[in-house]
Amino acid sequence: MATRPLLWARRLACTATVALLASPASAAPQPSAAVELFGGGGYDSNLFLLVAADPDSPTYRPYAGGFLRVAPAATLALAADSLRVELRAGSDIRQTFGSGTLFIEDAQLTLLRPEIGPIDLRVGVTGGRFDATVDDGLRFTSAGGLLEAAWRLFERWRFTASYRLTGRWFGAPALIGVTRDLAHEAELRAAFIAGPTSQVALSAGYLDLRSTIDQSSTGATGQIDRLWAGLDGLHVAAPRVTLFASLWAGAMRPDGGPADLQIGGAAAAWVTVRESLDAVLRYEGLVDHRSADSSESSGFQRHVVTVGLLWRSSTARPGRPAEAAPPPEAPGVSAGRVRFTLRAPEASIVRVVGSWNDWAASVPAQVMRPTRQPGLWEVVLPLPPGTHRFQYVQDGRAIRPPAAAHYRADDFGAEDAIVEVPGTP
Amino acid sequence: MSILLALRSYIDTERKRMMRMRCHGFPAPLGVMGVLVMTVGLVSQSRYAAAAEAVPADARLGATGPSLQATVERAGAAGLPTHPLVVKIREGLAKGVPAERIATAVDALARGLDEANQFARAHGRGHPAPELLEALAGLHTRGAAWESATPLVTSKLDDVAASRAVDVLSELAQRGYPERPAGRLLRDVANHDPTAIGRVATGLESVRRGLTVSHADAVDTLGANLAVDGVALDAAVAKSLDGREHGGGNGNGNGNGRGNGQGSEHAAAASKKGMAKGAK
Repeated sequence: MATRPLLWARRLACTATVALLASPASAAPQPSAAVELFGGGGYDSNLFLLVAADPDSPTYRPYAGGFLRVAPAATLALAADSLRVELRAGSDIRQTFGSGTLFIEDAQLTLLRPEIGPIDLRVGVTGGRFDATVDDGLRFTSAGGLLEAAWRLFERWRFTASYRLTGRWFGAPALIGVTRDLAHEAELRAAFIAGPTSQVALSAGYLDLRSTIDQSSTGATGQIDRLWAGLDGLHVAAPRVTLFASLWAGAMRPDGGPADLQIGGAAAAWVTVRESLDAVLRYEGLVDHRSADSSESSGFQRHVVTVGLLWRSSTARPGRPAEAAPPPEAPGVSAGRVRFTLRAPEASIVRVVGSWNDWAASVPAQVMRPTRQPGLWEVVLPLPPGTHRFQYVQDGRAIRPPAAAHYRADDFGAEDAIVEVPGTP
Repeated sequence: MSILLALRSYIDTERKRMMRMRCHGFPAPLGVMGVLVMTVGLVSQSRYAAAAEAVPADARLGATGPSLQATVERAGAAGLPTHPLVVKIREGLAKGVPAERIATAVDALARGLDEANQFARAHGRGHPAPELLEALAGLHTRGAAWESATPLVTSKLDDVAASRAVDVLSELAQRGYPERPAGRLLRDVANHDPTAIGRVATGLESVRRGLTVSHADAVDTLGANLAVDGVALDAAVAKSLDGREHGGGNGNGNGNGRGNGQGSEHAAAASKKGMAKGAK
């Protein structure tokens, strides 16, 4: 049953990857690295729903109580002008009081290509590992992929469609009763960016999860379908204080039986304590109302409160963005003087004209002189600080400067080159 | 007439100010000199705005010369700055552009200045400076909507600072940044860190390339970090590059499980999508 969606997923991922890799990268790639560390603790009323769909799942263990949590992560990225390759790896260690320790490790390699037309595209592969010390059988590895397309519309709207495929392979199927499972998840999201400090979003998603319960004997499978829709919002309530809240409702149908009704939500606050340090307070809740006709156990709930500190550091620093090295004929600026050069072997007279003196054309100082290199003309002009537009005029005919960092359309259907002279105008 | 009224108003104000300063021991002759200098400045500025400049006498303009002069004079009579029109003619001549094409560009610029004047006045700029009108006309000529400049024209910036901000907006629009959000971003920069206006384009390019995001997302990200802390532009750029944007990326936190924890929760401002997954 899952074969056809899998094939389509592979085809989509391959197409997206080709589109990503075929995109031009005009600037030299810039490497960067970032690290994060979350440390904190909290209370979880049903911790193993972290990895189990419901209390009937083989991965479910009852635990209600406090936990301590440490979660480091690191990101390495290589970013060019229009393509980004990012590798992120992290761990999440949760220490319970009486139910052992949970070790969660994840890695994700993604390719991001913004602005393929109006679409931002992201593809990636993921892998991970889960291990719980409370139970020798409760460990699995996972692998999968993701495909995401985002579309900006009407300036303030952002639509995102994402698809995620994840498979899990259980380390001790005889103990856990399951050899593997496969999940397809699709989500549509429409976010309205009300302003720099607020946004709200509507989203809906679908999950299809199929588990191979006992491959060696019966080959039977279990199945869960889940459909949900929700609303969330984020608002900067005060400088350094960000609030987030969400509410969602959905239906989960185990093994094609009667559907459970589910409702959940989350609320969070981040307070920037210092330059690279945020304090985080988060609540997340879920209530499942099981159908009376269900043969499964009764409904369940999960409520989690987490408090902690999040520290981040990155090598990325602001500065002049990496651009392709300017060509040799680009104007050179040094101490308020600009050297203009043009290769024009056939020319008999060449001058530079520009906005610094209202396009005066008959200034002797702007007439370029031939250099020792055959065909190369140059002139050095002292220019005031600021952004200046210019063109060359070769034998009375205007020429678009062949080399400059930027160009700007003039009002005559051509383009002026831009030269920036540092300083306060 | 308006010049005389303005002068009288100015001299009245100056007299009162001098009276106040005299009480504090300010030497009167300096005040008188100040009045003279300011008066000369005021008159010369008014000339810049009102008197029509002469079109360059150049044979290449041929028959279009008189019509260009008429365009310039009409603009002057309407109280529009004529210097940008004359400079446009000089630019065309310097580039060897045919006279008809120069005339077309000058007509378009004159219309742009007129519309810019109406736009600025409609948004509370009683007597907009020539620099502001020229910047607004340039923005519109490059295809940007007038409304994109509304946040700047209605801001507390003086005309000269507003014209610089509009010039930057014009450049951002040309580089592909969405105009209206860019206009709002520039207004915020002007409010928080006015001396940084000239560095906005560089900052946005840093964010866009550093994070490899779309032009629109770069504006949103930088705008969010600027608004959140009220920090200076450079700090907001640094924060954006740290991936600490507060404005986006939150899922709705649904789900009763998250598989094997892909995407750690410590990425507090990142995705909160649950996986609702578990072996059945």
